[in-house]
Amino acid sequence: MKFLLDDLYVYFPYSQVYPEQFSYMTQLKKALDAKGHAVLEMPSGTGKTITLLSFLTSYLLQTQPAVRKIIYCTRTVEEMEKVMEEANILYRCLLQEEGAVDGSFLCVGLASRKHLCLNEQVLAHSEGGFMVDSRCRSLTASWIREKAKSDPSIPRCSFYERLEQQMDEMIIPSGVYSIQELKRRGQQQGWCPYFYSRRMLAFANLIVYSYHYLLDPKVSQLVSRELPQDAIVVFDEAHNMDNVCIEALSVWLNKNTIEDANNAAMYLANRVLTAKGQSFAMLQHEYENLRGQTIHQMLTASHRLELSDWEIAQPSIHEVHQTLEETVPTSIRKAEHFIAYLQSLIAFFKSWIHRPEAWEITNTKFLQDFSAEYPVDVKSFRFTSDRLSLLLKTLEIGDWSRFRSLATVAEWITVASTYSSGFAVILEPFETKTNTWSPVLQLACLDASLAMMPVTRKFRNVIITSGTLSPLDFYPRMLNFRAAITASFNMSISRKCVLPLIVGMGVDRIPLTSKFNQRGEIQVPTSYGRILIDISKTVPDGVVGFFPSYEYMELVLNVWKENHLLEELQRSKLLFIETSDGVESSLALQHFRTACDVGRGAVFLSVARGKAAEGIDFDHHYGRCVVLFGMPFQYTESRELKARLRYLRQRFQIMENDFLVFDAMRQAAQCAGRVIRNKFDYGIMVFADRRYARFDKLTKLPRWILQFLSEEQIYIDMETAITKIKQFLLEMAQQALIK
Amino acid sequence: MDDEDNPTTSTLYSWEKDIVRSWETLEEDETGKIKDSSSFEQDQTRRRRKKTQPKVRRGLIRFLVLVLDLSREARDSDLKPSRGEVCLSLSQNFLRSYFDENPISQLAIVALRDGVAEKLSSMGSNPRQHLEVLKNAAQKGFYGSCSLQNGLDMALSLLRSIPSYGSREVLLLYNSISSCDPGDIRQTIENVEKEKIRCSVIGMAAELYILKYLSIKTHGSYFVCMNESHLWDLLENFVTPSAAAIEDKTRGTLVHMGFPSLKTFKEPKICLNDRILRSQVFVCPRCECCYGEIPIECILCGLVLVSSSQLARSYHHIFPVANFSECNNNIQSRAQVCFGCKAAFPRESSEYFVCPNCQNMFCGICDIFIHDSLNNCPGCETNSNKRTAPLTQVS
Repeated sequence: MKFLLDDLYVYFPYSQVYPEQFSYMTQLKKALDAKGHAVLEMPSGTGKTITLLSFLTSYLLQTQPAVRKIIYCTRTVEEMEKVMEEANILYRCLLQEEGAVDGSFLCVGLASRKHLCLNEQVLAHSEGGFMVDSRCRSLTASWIREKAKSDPSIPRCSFYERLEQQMDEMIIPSGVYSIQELKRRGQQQGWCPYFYSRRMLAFANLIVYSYHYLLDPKVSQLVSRELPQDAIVVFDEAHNMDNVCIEALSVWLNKNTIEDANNAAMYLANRVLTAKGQSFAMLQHEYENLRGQTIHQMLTASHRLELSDWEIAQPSIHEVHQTLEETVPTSIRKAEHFIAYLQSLIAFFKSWIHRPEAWEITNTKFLQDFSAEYPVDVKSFRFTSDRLSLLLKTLEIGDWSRFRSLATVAEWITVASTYSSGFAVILEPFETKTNTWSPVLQLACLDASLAMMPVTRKFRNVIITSGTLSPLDFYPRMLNFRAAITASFNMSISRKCVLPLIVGMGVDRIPLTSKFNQRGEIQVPTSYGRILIDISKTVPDGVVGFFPSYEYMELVLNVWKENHLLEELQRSKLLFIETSDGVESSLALQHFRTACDVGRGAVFLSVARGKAAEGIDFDHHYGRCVVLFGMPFQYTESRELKARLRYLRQRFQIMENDFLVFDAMRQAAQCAGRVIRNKFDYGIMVFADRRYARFDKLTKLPRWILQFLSEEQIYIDMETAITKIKQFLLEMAQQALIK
Repeated sequence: MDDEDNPTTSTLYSWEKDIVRSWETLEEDETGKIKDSSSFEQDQTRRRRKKTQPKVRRGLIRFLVLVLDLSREARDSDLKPSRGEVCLSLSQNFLRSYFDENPISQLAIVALRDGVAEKLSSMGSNPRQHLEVLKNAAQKGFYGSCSLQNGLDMALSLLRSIPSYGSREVLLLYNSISSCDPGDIRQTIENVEKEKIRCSVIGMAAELYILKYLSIKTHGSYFVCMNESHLWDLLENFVTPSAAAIEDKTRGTLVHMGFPSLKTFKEPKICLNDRILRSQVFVCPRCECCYGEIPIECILCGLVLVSSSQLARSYHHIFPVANFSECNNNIQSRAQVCFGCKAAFPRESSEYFVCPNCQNMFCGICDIFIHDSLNNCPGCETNSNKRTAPLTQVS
């Protein structure tokens, strides 16, 4: 289908456009025309992805050269594959339309080696994907290939070699290259799909990859630096954007990491001491070069830049400080000096981590302390990571896996020295859960905008979109950018397919709450149990329950067990529980799905912010009903959160309570939204906490949930809720079956 | 089984029961008046008939297994007095209509109770025997869980030996919202699908995925009832034989049928079907076996024994009267009286119906009577020259 929006022809692969899709496009166009950023909220299941793709592609095709690229960021590889499928549908539609695609249209998905590698030797020893990167590097690094030319006994990767040979005369046909497609072609032609996709980045019109390739400074330097400024960046499912940003810049060190790093540094020291002959000459050469050249020149120009060397650059945040233009400080130019510096750094970390009590200071103070002990220029801290990679390269070390910890240490100090504010150094000697001594020294990023800023500054349009972004003004404030357009869209539907219920009272009209200071009481967990039993007797197939935390879930489950509520529950449905163990959880999930498929019916209990709450869809019969036991507030006693709250107040004038409520409500909405994945679906959302009924919390729910929430669904007791649920299920069954 | 599952503790006092909101079922029309529910029902029947298409193949000789879910969920009192009781009483009505409309078809009843499937009556075409069974079914009470797989397995064993000309169907009345099965239900459904058995389900509470899956796989239908009258409407759908499944491409086969003669003997004869001595028996024209009732398949020679009137009663399903077109705008061209009852149309503005073949006009009441009971259009019958019998294959 092709239609005119203002002065733009929009190619849409389906025969009709929902009204909310149309208004979404209208808002999108405004943002693009204004060259500004946008925050757009549209419920999942209304075809957000295809709307975005088809509109942006149409815009791209018709406004070249104003816009040259679309960068679509997703959270997970599965989501990425879904996007690629939609892109494929769109591409086929574009081909049918006369004159839509003049030149070439290239869409490529980028994933890590783990997902793309075809080399059996590499995969055989990959240990579940963990070692693929370093195994691959040891086959494809430039000096190893150089050596292998004279010595055929050194193994090489045939896929890479073949790609390298044909690289220059290679013609890339138009099309959509998803991971599966890349692998298929790679298998067919004998090319390495990973490096092939990397190669294609420069030519692709539409790039689909993970957030990290753009936000994480370690990776974005390698992958995304070459991207043009006149590109449109889309962050899909961006409701946890700030956490992703923070995680990208935070670094954790524990006892083992430091120990490992120490060993690695010793090893390096030995290598340097014993370096003779060629290696020695190279070290000399390196030193000579460092005097004259900037580190960036060194990293890129010392060898002919080959594809495989892209990987070697290490975290560097040059954009902030223009370190690219500076030479490495004298104190760490010589390899021996650098290693001595590393060793003293590790020793300093060690002394820190053995402190008995929890500690929190700013990063600048920490660095001052260190430079007081070891007289080195503060500026040289910034070069730690780069200097390390350069050294490893000079020593021609292919297997990087043993230096991972050392690299983490280097990253820690590099990040800490690059930013002057927005960080805290936190030492947590005890694990909160078990109270055992396992100290973690964390460089905690407090400011989400630090990672986001390079992106919002560089690209012409950044679009942040998700099913749950309310309240919309929060994200621009937190990520520190100006949004040209913020909009939320309703779901246009002919039927009431969502039944949100705010249950404030349980059995015997006990007020329900998961408040921390009332957790000791037994009535609330018992009430929750009764609610779940009642629901599982009324609702067919799958029911999903979310708790605020694993601790609370354990507490509640214990109460249920003691009061024989579990037995009663299991009479009507099977019970599956998500634990912090990934394998166990996915097994539980698989069995849960089977139980729903065969009509036995099952309950899946999980926690907000868990894997099930974030990435797993409970569509159709897998999730007829979702129950939120309590409000998913964060653990407010954690030092990291406290530091962040304080920072938010000082820097952005966001009050602690506002942020906590906002965060809890977005998690709640995210959990509740799991059951509705498309328009033909229907589901019940039970918010079992009286606090949801309060005005300040209620209004923070997304608009598309609020549109179904009428007055008589707020603050009701369980009996009324069950009556409503029964009626709703009957009505839905009628409409679902008429088709 | 614990106390709660004890079938003797049953009815609640009215003040213990859930609220019945009778006022909520009332509907208002556009002017704010309460809708005349009878006219609403007329609409319903007419609407349903609109869907019936002539010139389709229908399985006239039906073999239906009626599966009733009498597990503990049948005690639920959202239908009064309980779901189970309502199911059973409406099933009795259904049986009567079924044998009325399909005299040469057969039926068996299976109950799902306490995790097992229990055969209440085996395949037969004697309504009395089935009715008796249904009346007594409630006595054991409703308890235990419900197993769809066991029910289907039982139905499968009942239907497996049925000859290919018979249309094999299963009708489930499902009270539960889950199914507690001993094995892989998907396998069972696959078997049912392979045997070309059509499974239809009427649920009582909510849409259950596995039932939807079953009905889609086996080309059946799946409904969920809202209340008692809705349940009866849904059951009525299954009284008339449904159109044959589309993928069933087997050509119409000829079926040997015998028309037994009813003879009176001086000395009673043993009837082969129930081993009872009778003096008045039906005698098979091929092997001269005696039977107390027809239709039946001769035990000795395998001939299907029916009476001609029974055959005729099933026959009209193949040649339904064409749907009359509804007119209410062109009042001037309307005839003075209804062609059927010869009475004047009740109101000046009332709608009338036109037969597409003979162009005669009928009132609404006659329209329903012609389609539901008479099965012939009086206009077309009187004008026999123009009569065109639609050509249809009989399977």
